Amino acid sequence: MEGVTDEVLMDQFCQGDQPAFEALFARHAGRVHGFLARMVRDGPLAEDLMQTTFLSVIRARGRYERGTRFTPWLLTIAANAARDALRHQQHVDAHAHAPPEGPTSVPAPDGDPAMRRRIEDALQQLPVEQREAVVLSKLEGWSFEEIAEMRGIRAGAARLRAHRGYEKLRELLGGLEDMS
Amino acid sequence: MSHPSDPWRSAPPRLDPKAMERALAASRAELALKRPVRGWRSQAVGLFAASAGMALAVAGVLLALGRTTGAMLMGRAPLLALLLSTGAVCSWGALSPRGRALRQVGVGLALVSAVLLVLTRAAPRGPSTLPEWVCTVSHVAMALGPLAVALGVLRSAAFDPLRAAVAGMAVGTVGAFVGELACEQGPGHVAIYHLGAWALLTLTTWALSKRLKPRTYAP
Repeated sequence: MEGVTDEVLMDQFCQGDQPAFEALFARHAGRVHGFLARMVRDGPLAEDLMQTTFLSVIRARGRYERGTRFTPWLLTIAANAARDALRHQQHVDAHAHAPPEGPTSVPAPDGDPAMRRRIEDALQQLPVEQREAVVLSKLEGWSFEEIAEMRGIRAGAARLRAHRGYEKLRELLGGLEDMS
Repeated sequence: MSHPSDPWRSAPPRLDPKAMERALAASRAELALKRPVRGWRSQAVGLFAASAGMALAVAGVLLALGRTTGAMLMGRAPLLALLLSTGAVCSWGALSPRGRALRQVGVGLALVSAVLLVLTRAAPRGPSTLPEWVCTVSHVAMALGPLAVALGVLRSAAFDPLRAAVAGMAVGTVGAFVGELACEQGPGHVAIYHLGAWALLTLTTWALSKRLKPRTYAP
């Protein structure tokens, strides 16, 4: 399967080729999990959502349009699943009168663990829309046009969400340089 | 690519191989079910067929019972065609993965149809023997089948408020269509009891779709 593009693999999967799906899973499971871990900051939940994302790929292959770039389509599914989970979590927390806070079960990754943990703690304090825009633009390398297309908003609105997210992160993190 | 000096770009949390195995096993189990894959186009056609089919079936019954005539049907043909077109555009727009512009067109068509339903309605010929709310109840009752279809197909994608509302508008065309043939009340009645039912169905589809857990989170 090496050398075959994601889009070709997805087309093959849509034709019923199961190994093509497994190749896509092997290529993207880690990336999807990384994105979800940053979005929800909860290890077991990120793993569950990763599974949900790939189940969605299987169930929704009738909605995949030939010519659609696969990675943005896949991460859109992951982002939608994360949003739904976070909305549900907020609902549960609101009813339990216990707002979520602080670090969670995701272990500190490589690099500067203290700084990274500060950033990830701060990310969790952003509204979901801003967090999504920051993670996708800063960490996944999406353009604002791509984020806008995913969310059905204008590119300017996507830029504004990310900008507000960066502003809030700056406030939360104090002196951290080179935020955006 | 990882950049150790940049805390933003350090590697994300590693995926536990056991979790990866579990996800892959769940995917294989899903594939082993060999559920039929339905494209969004056939779902859109199904939603339109449910709405238009119900409208045309009730129109046929009204014709057979003599409650409406061929002449009346022909006289209202442009408006009835507009309602069917609205149903088609709304159905297609609601299910299309990239149909945001079409959804907006669908909303526009529904608004034009609603305005025309009121403006083209003649003054009532005489007092009705039935309470006015009967029209609202009939609208909603006739739309229950298409509503169930709409809720089923909407679960194949992530919830989107505009998508759900437009599907509800497609569902509401049934009552609007039949109301043109079966009701002889004036424009005020249409504005309140017919369009009210259409709005109620749009709102109901939106609210129920929001509550139902989607089968997929695809766009």
